[in-house]
Amino acid sequence: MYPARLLHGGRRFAVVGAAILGAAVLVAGAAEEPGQDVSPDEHGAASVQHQSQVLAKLMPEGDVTKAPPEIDAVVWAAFVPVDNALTPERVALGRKLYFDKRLSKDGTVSCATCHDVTRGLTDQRAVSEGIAGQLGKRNAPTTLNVVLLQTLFLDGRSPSLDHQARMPILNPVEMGMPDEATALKAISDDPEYQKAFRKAYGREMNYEDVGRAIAAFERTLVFMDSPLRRFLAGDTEAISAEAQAGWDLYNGKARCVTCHPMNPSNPLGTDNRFHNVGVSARHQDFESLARRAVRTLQEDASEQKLDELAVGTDLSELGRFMVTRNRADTGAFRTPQILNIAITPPYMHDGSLVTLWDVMDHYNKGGEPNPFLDGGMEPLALTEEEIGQLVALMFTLTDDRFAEENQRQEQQQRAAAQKDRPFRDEDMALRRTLPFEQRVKGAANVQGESNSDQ
Amino acid sequence: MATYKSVETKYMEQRQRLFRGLRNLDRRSFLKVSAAAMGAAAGMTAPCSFTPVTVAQEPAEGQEAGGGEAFRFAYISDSHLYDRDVNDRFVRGLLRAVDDVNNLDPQPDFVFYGGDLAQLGQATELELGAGILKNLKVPVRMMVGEHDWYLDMGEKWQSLFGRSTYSFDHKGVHFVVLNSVVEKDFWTHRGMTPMERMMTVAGLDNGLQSSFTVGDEQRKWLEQDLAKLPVDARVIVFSHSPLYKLYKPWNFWTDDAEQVQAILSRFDQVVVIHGHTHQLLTNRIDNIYFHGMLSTAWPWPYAPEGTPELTIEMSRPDPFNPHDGCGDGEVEVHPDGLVDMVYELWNRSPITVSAAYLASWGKQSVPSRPNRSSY
Repeated sequence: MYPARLLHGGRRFAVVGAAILGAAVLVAGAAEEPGQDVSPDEHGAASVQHQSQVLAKLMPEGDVTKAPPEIDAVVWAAFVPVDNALTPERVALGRKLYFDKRLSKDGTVSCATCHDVTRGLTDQRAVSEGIAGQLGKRNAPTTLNVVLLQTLFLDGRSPSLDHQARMPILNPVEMGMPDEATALKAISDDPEYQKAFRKAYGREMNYEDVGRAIAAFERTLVFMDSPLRRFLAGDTEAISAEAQAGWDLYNGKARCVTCHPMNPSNPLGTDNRFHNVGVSARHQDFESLARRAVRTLQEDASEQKLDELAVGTDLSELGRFMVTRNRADTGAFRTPQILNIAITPPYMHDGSLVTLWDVMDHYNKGGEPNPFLDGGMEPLALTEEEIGQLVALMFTLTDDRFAEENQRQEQQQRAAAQKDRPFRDEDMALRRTLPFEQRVKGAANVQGESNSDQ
Repeated sequence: MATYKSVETKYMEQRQRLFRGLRNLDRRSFLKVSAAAMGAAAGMTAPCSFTPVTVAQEPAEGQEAGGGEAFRFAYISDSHLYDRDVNDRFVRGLLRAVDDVNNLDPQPDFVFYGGDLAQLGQATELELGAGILKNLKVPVRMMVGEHDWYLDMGEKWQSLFGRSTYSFDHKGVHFVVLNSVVEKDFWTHRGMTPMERMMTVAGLDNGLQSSFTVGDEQRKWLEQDLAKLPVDARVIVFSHSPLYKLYKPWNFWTDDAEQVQAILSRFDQVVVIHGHTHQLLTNRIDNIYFHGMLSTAWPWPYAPEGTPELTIEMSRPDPFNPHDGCGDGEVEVHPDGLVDMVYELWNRSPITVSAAYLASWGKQSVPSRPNRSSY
């Protein structure tokens, strides 16, 4: 029994070697408090008390009104809305709301259920679990570094964090409150909240300020202090030679940088745009889904309806199309940030890829062929060694405060990848087979195949 | 002699023309134009794009209802397929177009292919294309482009698809398919190999090759083919290069265009649909309505000069996404023989250039303009 085990409740993955766990010393908040309840709750999340303590150690009190050192002050200021400037009162209020399960219909789910402080501010599950054990259709993105995102949700259906934070509370699959008034009523009798809202926003409690306060707190979750950052700042010892080779590939042969640009004004490594990389093409017929979506949205295209369809139905797989209803956006999802990517598995909008090796295999073969595949997707012809270098690079993108979890993930993912690489396809990666060739060869071959299936 | 005009010059000229036109308008027409201008201001156009309202010099023709049947066909064009080892992106482009068309509901009557199936006229390239087009659910009609032709002078193409000049009737419309890429022999006296000839034709901005023509032989055939038709017949002509003179250095040009136009001039109205230019291109010369087709391989920028005034220029493509600016489309044929041209841009919202827009010389049914600037 030791830190990492406790951090993760041992719930989703088998515990790896005790030696590694014992060796990890960098993570804050890892020490076990005597008598603390660390068993996961009914949704698998760490307890509120435990999460709060871990967070307190990860983020000691600081001046929230100023840009954190990792982000350029001008850039940071541009991303904080004028009507929701960060103040200690707002952040404290948001922090309380973030962990408050009363905001859910049955009192079991809070923001922290799926954006768990002990699990990279996500839930490390393929898709998230809401009230009454319901599963949504999408992988929970981390709330780390969200201050710099230009649109929210994987399909960008929300224009701001202040707006986004209000949505899951009302989503029937997530926190399940029937409407804003009911959600507000769940906490409005609490005199502490009444006082806190007045102090934070100078007015009576209202639902929009709930969203603002949660967003204010989330904007303080800046975790960018990674080995790669130090390497780029000139410390050549900060990352291994293997990861350095990975960085060259990132900017070259592997083409990562085209969608994951990283620079001082945009350090997240996302272009904030929407791409179909073919993840859901493995099991979706986009055309019939899209036809159904258009019919459904003709009846009701409210933001509430859109939220329900995106989280709770198979139309979720249409991604950005649901927002724009433009054919070009079919199956397209926002490029996620790549900071802290190692500690937020599984990957892709549906959590269908378990390890970073799987992610590399997916891109190496040029994604999954489908009519809406982004034009920039190409087979990459990466060797095993090169894949190893890129994965090594991705393990240098984790903030030092999560170093122990980073190491644990590396062990765990490496072990999983050694056992199974379900998306590895060298023939496609090296263009020995081209995805279209089977179709091009014509009906005769297709016929032959279906015969052999029978 | 046309000279190069900067974007600013063109913009100022269009504004001046608009204001000149406004002064000459009677009250009723003025209201029409202002309504169009207000539509433009209401978001149909970006503030930086050209003024969408021009007052055409010619009066709009009274549109006859026409007695024919309306129908729809799809088009795919300019796929420029290479051998598998060289490039497979263009193959995926053509496959996407085939998927697009196969998913149209209801299905079009047929698909028209606008030429340049191959990049360098090689048998493997043409066979690859033929194999992909077999996946279409509805029949496909083929036209030849210069990239299909100049390696073996059309031998392989014709063995796969038949004659390169032909006509057919469909639901009362007479369709004519021309080979408009006939060049004078520039290769024999230079001692070029077939591949050198092909590479020369495939290039732009070179002084070596001659201009595209329809040629004496085909013009004579065309005259005979159309001879029996009454003047109010519904006629749609396909040509790979535009049957007018746009920009010679890129062969956006047919050298005997005027002679072909003269043959078509006796009809009330004729629609000409062409490939080759890889862009949204619209023109009208008297009774002839011209529409360009999109490419599935790459978009060309607009030529530095000569772009017809009726053309709604599509946006400058996103350099990251090689599919941007490419696409396919549909052609809605009206009972009177005029067409609505639907441009299904893969990365953008579709744009429809309607018959009413051309019939009114750009006064009515102005297509909504892309909200990003052109080249």
